[in-house]
Amino acid sequence: MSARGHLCIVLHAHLPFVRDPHKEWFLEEDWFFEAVAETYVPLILLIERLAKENIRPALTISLSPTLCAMLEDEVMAARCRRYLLKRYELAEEEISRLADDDPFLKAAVKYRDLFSQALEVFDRFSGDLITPFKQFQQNNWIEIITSSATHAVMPLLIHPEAVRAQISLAAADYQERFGRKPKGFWLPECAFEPRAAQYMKLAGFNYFFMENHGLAYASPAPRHGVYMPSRVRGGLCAFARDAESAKEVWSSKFGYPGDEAYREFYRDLGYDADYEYIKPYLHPDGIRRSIGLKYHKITGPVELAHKQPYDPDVAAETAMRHAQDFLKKRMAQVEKIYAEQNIRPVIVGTYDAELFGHWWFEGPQFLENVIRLIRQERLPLQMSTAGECCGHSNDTAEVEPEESSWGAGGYFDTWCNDKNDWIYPRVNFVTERMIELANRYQHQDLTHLDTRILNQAARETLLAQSSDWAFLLYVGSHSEFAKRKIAEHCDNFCALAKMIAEKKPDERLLHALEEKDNLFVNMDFRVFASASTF
Amino acid sequence: MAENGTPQNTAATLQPCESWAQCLCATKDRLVLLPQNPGAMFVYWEWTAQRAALFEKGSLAPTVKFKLVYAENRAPALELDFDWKTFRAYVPPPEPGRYYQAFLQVNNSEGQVQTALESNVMLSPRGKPADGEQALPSSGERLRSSMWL
Repeated sequence: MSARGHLCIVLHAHLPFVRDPHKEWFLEEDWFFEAVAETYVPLILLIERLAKENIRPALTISLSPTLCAMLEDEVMAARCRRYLLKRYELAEEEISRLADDDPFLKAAVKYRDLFSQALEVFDRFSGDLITPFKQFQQNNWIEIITSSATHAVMPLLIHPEAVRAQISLAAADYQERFGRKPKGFWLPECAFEPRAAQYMKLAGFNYFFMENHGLAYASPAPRHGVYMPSRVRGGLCAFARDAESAKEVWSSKFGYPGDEAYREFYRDLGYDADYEYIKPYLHPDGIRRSIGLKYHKITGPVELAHKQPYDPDVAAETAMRHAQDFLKKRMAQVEKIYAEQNIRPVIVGTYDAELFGHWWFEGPQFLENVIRLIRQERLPLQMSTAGECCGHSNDTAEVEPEESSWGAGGYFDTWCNDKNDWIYPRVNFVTERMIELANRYQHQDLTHLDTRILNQAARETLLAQSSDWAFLLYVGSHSEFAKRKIAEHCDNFCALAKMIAEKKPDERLLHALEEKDNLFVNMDFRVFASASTF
Repeated sequence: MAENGTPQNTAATLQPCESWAQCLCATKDRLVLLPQNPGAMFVYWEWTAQRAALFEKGSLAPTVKFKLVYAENRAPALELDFDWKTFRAYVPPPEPGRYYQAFLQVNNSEGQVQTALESNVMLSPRGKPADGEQALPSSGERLRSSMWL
């Protein structure tokens, strides 16, 4: 039976740039290690398993430049391996500690396997997890796309030079890393504004993703609604996030991850275990924190203390049931659209990659089940990458999408509110000065040292623009870290700008900054110039 | 300088401040518009120390006039008075979906226009029919507020 429609699953993998070789231990670095163990490695393994069965996963995976920089970094790799090894040792110890009939034993074995597999994959690729993704793309199993340089919410950047720099640097970074031009662009937070479309086109991108209502209410209305990619003025292709498949996964009330059989995220051995027993696995400050071994299931609306033991087998059965339900609903959706509009719709399910595995522990199993079931059940639904679906629409009319995002309410409240709006004067100040520097020095014969200073200033500017700092301030967690990062990047910029202005290079400081904020190796500060050739 | 060679926060302008009063150390007068949602735009302005001193001395009138115009034809859209020390405000755009620009008019103590700051041009989101009803689940923020935070 030929396919009645396409299922395009897009996973956006992103973490802010938290690398700091000068600090041996800090909490925020654990975000990266946890995501490696629980999301990126499971994703690599599921793609490998499917490919071995001759099932093409056809996932579209967005790897943000900041995440890529950390995934191939030697300092991060060494620390990540240390983390994985320590967790593996703990899981082994847990298996010894728990008796045969202990209700938590199965979960302990599951964790031992998780960390053992993570170590195996990590070592197989010498700690560089970009390599497998690159190979998967070369084999045409998946499509990798990119996102803006440091995940800036572009409607909140007032300088067009900054929007252009975020986009063109992402394209250059991708090409260098993956050896080909990127086709797809993930707008950070799906935050669309018209300038971004113009610069995405100029940087050579073919398509991007946006929030459902931004395209649904475009002018003129797309002929096939949000079930086909739409041609945006200027020639780019826009995909809209499908509302139904989003709700089934994301909704706190109806979403699959809230099922009582799944693993409870918030109850953790780091808090439950005897202190002396768990202390060797905590940070040197000895404060109890989550360590990733969680033995309870969601259970239902009860206090954490009353959560029941987690059974991985029951959770796996649930993940299969949810995959079947997800596909049943997609089939009904596709059949309905096919009958009503006589088109083979493209259903675009966009998710943060880290949902699968880290937060929703069984998410990778669910995803693997979905992809495998389409083939095994010979469903008339085709897994397709976004690049493959770009030309599917026969609607040649160009539309103007609406300014929008996937944040609460659909706009920019999350990143611009009374908890975080103080950052914009600082970020805009630094950005404006960077543009001034680029304009002033772009055609001058500079010494190698001055060029390095200006390039580092450009890196610090970009890092200050990251949406993550505003988000952390908004949710009120890790706010001190976010404040520190903004201050640090802005302050670093100022120190570098001062070196240039006063013609007093400080090589020691420059070297320290280059060593720390070392992303975009081939940075050219001229990317910020008003009449840039980028 | 910190032990590891990275600079400490020394520039007063770059401290992550809780108080907008710290923005008085701006290097030039500035007025900025940012979109928040169809019903609100974020406006902020900064004064140089020199300009602030003129306000403090009473050489400039303490009330500044915020004038919002439609960017395409500069037709007036909204006028509001603010105390010069307000620094920031959330202002409702009269018509969502339009491009706006703002001016901040400063008068001297005799009421004559002394200067007017000019903002960037900003597009206000148009809004969607579903606004006011329950929005779709929004992934990024739900996820991250649940996982690492």
